[in-house]
Amino acid sequence: MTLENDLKRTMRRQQPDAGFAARVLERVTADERERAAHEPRRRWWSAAAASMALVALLGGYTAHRVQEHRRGVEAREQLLTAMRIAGEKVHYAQQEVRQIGTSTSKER
Amino acid sequence: MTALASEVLEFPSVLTRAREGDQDAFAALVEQHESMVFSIAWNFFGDRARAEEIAQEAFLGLYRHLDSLESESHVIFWLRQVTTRKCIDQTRRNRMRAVSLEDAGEIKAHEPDFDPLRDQTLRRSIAELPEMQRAIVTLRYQEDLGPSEICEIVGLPVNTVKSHLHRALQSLRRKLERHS
Repeated sequence: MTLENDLKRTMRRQQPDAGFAARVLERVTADERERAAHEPRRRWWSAAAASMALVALLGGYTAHRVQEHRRGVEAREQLLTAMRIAGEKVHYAQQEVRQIGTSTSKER
Repeated sequence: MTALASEVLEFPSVLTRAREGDQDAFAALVEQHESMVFSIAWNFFGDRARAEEIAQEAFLGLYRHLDSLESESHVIFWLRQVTTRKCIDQTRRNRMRAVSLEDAGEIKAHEPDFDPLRDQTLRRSIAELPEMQRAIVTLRYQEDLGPSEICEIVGLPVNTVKSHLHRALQSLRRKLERHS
C-alpha cells in the first residue's frame, strides 16, 4: 500500500458533531445582535470623525486664505516702496536736468 | 423548454437566497460545506473542538462576505482558503503542534487492510510537519487538489508548493519507516 493511499484514507473528510449548522446560525445571530448593539456607537464615532475632518479642512482652508492675504499685502507694500523709490529717482533726475539746463543758459 | 427546466432556471440558487438574508438557505450552504471545512481543520489540528471552532469562524466569515462571492465554486475556494489560513495563523500564533488522537482510526476500524497503529503514526507524523507543509498535504490528500489549485489557495508559487509537498512526503515516509 502506498503512502499516498494511506494519506487519502487517513485524511478523508469527516462530519462535525450533529447540529453544526444550527450552532453556526446561533453564532451568526449573536454576532449580528452584537453588531446592532454597537451600531449607534459606531455611527456616533463616524459622525465625530467626519465633523473633525470637516473642521480640519475648513481650518486649513482659512489658514491658507489668511496666508494668501498676508502675502498680497506684503506684495502691495513692496510695490508701493518700489514706486516711491522710482519716483524719488525720477524727481532727482529731473532736478539734475533742470540744473544743467540753467547753468548752460547762464554761460551763454 | 419544459416546465421543470424553466422552474430550475427561475429558482434562485442557495447562495443567492442566502445573500438575500434567507437563514434557511445559509444553513443549507453550511450543511453543504461543513465536512470540507471541518475536515481541513481536523486534519490540521487533530482536535475536534479546535476544528469545530475554526470551522464556525470560517462560516461566520462566509456570512459576512456573502455579498462578495459570485458563485458556488467561489464559495468553495473562499472557504478552503480562509480555513487553511486560519489554521496556519493559529498555529503560528500559538506555536502548537499537539495532536489529540482520541478518535483517530475510530471510523475506519472495520475497513479491510486498516492498520490503526500505522494510521496513528501517520497522523502524528502529519501533525509534526511545519504548518505550510501540513496545509498543503491536507489540501492535496483530503481535497484531492493539484499543485496549481493549491498554490492559489495558499498564495505560493506552484514550484514552491511542489517542493513543500515533496519534502512533506519524504519526511512522512522516513517517519513511517522508523516506526515500522
